[in-house]
Amino acid sequence: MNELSDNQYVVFEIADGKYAIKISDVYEIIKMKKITVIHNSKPFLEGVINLRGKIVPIVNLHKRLEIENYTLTKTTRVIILKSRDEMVGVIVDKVNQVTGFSDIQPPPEAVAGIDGNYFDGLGISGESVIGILKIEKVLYE
Amino acid sequence: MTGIYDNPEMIGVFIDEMEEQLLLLEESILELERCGENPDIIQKIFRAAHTLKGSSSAMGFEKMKILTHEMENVLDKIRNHRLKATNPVINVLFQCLDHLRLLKDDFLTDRKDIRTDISTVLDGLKRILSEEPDPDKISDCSKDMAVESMVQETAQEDQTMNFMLDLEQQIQIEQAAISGLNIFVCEIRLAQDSVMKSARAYLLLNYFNQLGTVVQVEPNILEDGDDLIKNAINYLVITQMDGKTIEAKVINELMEVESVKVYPYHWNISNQQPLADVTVKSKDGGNENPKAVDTERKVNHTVRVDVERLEKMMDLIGELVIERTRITQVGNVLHERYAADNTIEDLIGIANQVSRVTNELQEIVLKTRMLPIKQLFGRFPRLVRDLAQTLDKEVELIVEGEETELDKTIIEDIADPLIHLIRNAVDHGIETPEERSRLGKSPTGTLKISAFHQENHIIITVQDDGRGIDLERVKETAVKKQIITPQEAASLNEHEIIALIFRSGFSTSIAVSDVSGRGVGMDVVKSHVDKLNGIIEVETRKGEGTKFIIKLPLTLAILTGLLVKISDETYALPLSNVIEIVRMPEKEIKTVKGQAIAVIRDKVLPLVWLHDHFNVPRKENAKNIFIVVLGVAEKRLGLVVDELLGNQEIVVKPMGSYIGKVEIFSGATILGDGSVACILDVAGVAKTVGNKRVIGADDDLLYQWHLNSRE
Repeated sequence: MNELSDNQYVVFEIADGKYAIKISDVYEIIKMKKITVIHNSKPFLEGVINLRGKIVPIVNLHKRLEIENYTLTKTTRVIILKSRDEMVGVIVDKVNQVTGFSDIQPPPEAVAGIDGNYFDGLGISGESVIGILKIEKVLYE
Repeated sequence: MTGIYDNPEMIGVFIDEMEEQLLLLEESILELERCGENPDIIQKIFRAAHTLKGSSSAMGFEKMKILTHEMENVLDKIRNHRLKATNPVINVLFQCLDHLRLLKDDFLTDRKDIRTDISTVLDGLKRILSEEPDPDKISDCSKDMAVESMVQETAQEDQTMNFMLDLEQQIQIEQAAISGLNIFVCEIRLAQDSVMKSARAYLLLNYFNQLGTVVQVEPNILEDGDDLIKNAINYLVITQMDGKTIEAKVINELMEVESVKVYPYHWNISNQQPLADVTVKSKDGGNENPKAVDTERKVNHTVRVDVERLEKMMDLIGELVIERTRITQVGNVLHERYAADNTIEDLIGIANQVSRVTNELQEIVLKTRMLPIKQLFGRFPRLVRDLAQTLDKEVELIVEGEETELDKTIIEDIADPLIHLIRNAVDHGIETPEERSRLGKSPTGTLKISAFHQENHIIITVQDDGRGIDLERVKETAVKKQIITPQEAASLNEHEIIALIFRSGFSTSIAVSDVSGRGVGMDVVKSHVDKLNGIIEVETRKGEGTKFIIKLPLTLAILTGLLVKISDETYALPLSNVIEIVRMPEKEIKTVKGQAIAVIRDKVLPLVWLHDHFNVPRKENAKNIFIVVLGVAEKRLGLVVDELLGNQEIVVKPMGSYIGKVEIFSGATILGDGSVACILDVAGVAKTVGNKRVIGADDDLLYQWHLNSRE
């Protein structure tokens, strides 16, 4: 797990939980924009936005992780991820910080009521334990 | 190990060149078969093979080098009249071509692993080479050639060199003759051991140019390499000197010349014949020759550009188009707000200028993506030839409008449907020669493929003079395959019956042949055309033939869209699918069997509320509703929208693979305000909402509606 713990992570909040994504997966973080709904598409797809002339799909992480839906606040952000050569945005309630972890444990069966399969591991830094999301699983399966 | 072989740019250029030369080879071999031996054609084939040999050996592509080398040997023999281009020879040349294609494919998949076995075709070539020509045959051969190419040469058959001259050169010679100059053929044989023969030949050219004017050289030493100069080099010289003096001068003053022979050039009508011949041919549709000269000249002014770079350019232009619209919008807003401010007038002026320039830029970039459809049509002569041979049919192919240009991506996407239509025409349409004679038709069937522009569209037609579509049989088959019920069949009109052939699961061919009827039917053709926002129509007459007409947009990247609102969401509809827009009081809408309909100009239209499919509320309490009448092929439907926003040029952007294919959307676009709007795919909409039958629905609904209104 050394490889994981050497990395930097972006820590963010969804509902009241804290989660992390490897910084190398993050392309940029933007404020909420006008989202155009794509009807009859994937259920957790919120819609698409115009990111400087590119159409970028936006995923509703709350729906995806089956947490109570988000409400738009001043801190709501869209994290644009780069995955499989494509950009996909996820909506989060707040972006906290960029950090490293002193240790990373394999994920348990469930993290705060969410299926453990969505996680790469649990990052430990000082007192706090943060679930590291497995992008591949969250976005595609 | 990195070297020239691994340089992706070199490989790219090589692959492009291979494709080009292979196409040229195919064209010329077909021409050889059709027109018989003609030094010009042989030279063309030779040159293509030679270019391939050169570039493949530079890329370290051994197998291709070997094969092209052997081809050259055979071609050389044909060129020197030591071998006759008979059918077996041409067939072997075609085999070579096929193998070269296979080699190319191998090269594309994995250049380190070339699997294609070329030994059989090499054997074939060697067998031809080893066939010793006997003297009788040679004279036969040259006689044939003379007849076929209509060059009536008599006495000096062995002696006279036949130069292929273009019009300018002919005029040059004529004028020289009128002004009393001598026109000589100087036949030079270089010493066998001479190294750098082409350099030597070039020196000779300069030398003759001092003595007079060299009109032409055979073989062309400027283009071809050393190995071409195996035999004599012939210079066609206009000079004041007499032949004997030249002969003496050459022998005395130049080195490494084995022999020299100077004789007057018999230039007469017959030498112009090839030109006349070409014009005759062009009537048959094989008018490559004059154009080939044209393209050769044009080639000098072109640059190869990576397609990806073009796409990127297109993207950027797309963004520019969007920003342009935004500038205009912001300008208008500002103008309303600060009507007195002159700077805003300026801004609007600038915005207009920017928009003009952008329009032009957009047009030019669009044009750079355009390619002549020849790229695609060039494949057809071979296809038709092979098909006709397999099926024992005689087919004359006429190709028109090869120079018509359209978007590269469309050319690629329309290839399969067209090939399918051609196969169908030759297989099912055109009858066997016996049957045709019996019907009083010429035994050779005609297949005509043409392309031309019409407004913002390109029309491609595939027309045969075969047996036509048997409407009765179509109906029977459709009933048998349970596509329609017998009752429905009885009520169909001609138009609707023809439309049946595009339904999936339909194929009238009884026997599944090798050529067509492999389960891929006309429905696939239609779905391809639909995908390109195109329309396909059929005209058929029993016993007289069938004509397929495909209408396609020139480009897919930018289209004119009608922006509409459904609930509070904005959508774009391709204007090419919009037939008309109607405003209608809500109370005039009728319902038949649960399907809402509207009667517009005595035609019954099924109405569609996408609101229901999107789970958004329908507009309530509206007096009038807007109906956009949409058409895909024969289908018509009325889309109910809440608001019409107007026409706009929109740049089509893909939704990306993450979202994947959503049936009712063909893509998205960015609007003037920076927001995204989805582009509705009309074919997809019709499919999603109309799982019931839409074809033929009109009559049925109309009938029902009459019943209801009578009540």
